Amino acid sequence: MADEQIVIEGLSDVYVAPTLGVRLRRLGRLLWRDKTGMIGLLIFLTVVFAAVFADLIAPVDPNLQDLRSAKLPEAWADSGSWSHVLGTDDLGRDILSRIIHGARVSITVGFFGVLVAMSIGMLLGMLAGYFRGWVDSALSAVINLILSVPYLVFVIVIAAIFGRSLFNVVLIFGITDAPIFARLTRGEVLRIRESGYAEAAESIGASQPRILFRHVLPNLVGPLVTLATFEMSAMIFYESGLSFLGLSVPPSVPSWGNMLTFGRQYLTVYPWMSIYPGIAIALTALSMNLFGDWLRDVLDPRVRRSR
Amino acid sequence: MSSLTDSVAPAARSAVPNPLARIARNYYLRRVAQSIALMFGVIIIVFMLVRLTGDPASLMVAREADAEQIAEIREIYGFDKPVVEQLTTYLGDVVTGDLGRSFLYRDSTLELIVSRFPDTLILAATALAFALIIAVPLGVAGGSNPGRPIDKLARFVGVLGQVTPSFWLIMLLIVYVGVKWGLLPTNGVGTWKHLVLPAFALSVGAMGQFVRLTRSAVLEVRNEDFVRTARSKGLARRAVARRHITRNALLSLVSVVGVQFTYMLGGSIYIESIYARPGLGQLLDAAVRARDFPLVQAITIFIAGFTIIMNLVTDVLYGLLDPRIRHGG
Repeated sequence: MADEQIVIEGLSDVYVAPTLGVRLRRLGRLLWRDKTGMIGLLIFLTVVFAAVFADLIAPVDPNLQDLRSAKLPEAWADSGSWSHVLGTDDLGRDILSRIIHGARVSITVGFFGVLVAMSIGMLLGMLAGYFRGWVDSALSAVINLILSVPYLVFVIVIAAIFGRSLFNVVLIFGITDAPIFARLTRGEVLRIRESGYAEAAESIGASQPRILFRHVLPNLVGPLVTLATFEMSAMIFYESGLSFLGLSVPPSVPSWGNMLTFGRQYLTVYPWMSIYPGIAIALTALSMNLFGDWLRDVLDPRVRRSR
Repeated sequence: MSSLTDSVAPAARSAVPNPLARIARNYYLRRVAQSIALMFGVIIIVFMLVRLTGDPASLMVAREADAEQIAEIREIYGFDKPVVEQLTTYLGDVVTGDLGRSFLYRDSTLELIVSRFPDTLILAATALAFALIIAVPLGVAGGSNPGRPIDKLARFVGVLGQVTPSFWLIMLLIVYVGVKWGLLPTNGVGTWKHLVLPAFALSVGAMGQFVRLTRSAVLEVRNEDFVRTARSKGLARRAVARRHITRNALLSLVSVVGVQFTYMLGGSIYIESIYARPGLGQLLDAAVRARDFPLVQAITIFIAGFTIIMNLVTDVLYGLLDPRIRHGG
């Protein structure tokens, strides 16, 4: 750990903040020690990899229909075939290829949904936490209002009104999830402003923007990244649910929820059509939860105590 | 606001000159006033959402409808009038219990909801019972024995419950427990046997959260000063665990049980339509698929209202159980 603190001769008590590289390396060491967090990150990176390079990885075209090899079970079943590892659906489309391409919809919705939600939420939360007064009251009222309707019902209604497209789904999740980020940001900004170091900075004459950018923002990173991980997992989860209800991407697009909708019609005869897309959803959500748990423990010292 | 204070605190009026100040001081009255304001906010939001698309009439009819039919709808629902007038009419209707008429069923939406709701209530209550019966003992056992196998099991169930999609789980349960093993019915309502699979599938999300919460609450309470005091005064380990640790740890469950219950009303949309249970969730699914917006609107307002009342009850209960809340401000 010699690289963490640089001691300058003659000024033995000067502490130089570790650089980003040092901090990342330190995080890496912590991650290596926590195996569940490590496994979570690895599975999640695999899903992202599948989403980005779907065209190269998928064994066949996900929309290729081949009725001669339709309704095949998984390879290790009696009548299965290794040319279709996870079997085929009622139209002879390869299930593994469709799952790999389905990762695209999930990761796109999760990533851009969180990006939109975090941008809006952070801005509103900082405004509320910083200006307080009526701005804070008004924003808090809106946040409470949106959070008082069960999230699923809220999203279903909006999706039913605005119609099915990937863009709409990203926007719906981005806007409906913004209050969660706003609430966290507001609370953290209030807490940091009351803290000793922000007051100290103010007392030695630091300007308001300087306090905001040097002291408030960097301290927001940890809690926000942790929340983003959990929210991304939740969005992937909810997107599959919307797909399943026919409210997300059009049925022609391979998505995990859409696959379950088709699978449901053949549930008792060709169960593999439903089993594997569901495993993809659960595994992705699991990986992000494991990684999120680890992040929270590492980045938020206040909860580390309760472990 | 004055009519509100009249109905809430008739006895207090003579003693306190300003009724609004009294509401603001009393924790319970303040929460009731907030809930009523919230309810109006929700109704306005739902009202605005349907109008955000520009032309609610074309939204409400089948895609192949002609201009004449759209004009007819516009007139029936008053979409040709100014928005503010529409809103006041709508608010007046909702307050008097008129949530509009369904296209799909050609019936009062409120009557439809009321006739479907008991089934969903039974399903959600059973699911909540499943979740609590499994999660609380597991969470307490895990939190009391950190690092032991039982704790590992608790953490496993906690994570697994939260990541398993209920609509996928119910499909698996139907295939294996229902069809392959023939243990329980595969769809419909009737006997208690028809409740087991859908209620279990609906319960896993709440179960996961309850296990995690109970476990971490027990871990936290174990280190409190009053627990150390109880131990040092010679109280038996068991008595400390039961009276001091578990009871305080379960307090944190109170605040999430109500929330999870209202989530289950939303989750019933999957479970009921897959398991063919004629409840509120199935009604919402049918309404969304048929683009029956008066019904969608009515169900949303109904569920939001139920949620707001649940939250109010939770807060009042919490205030009664934990005095720090009602005096804290």
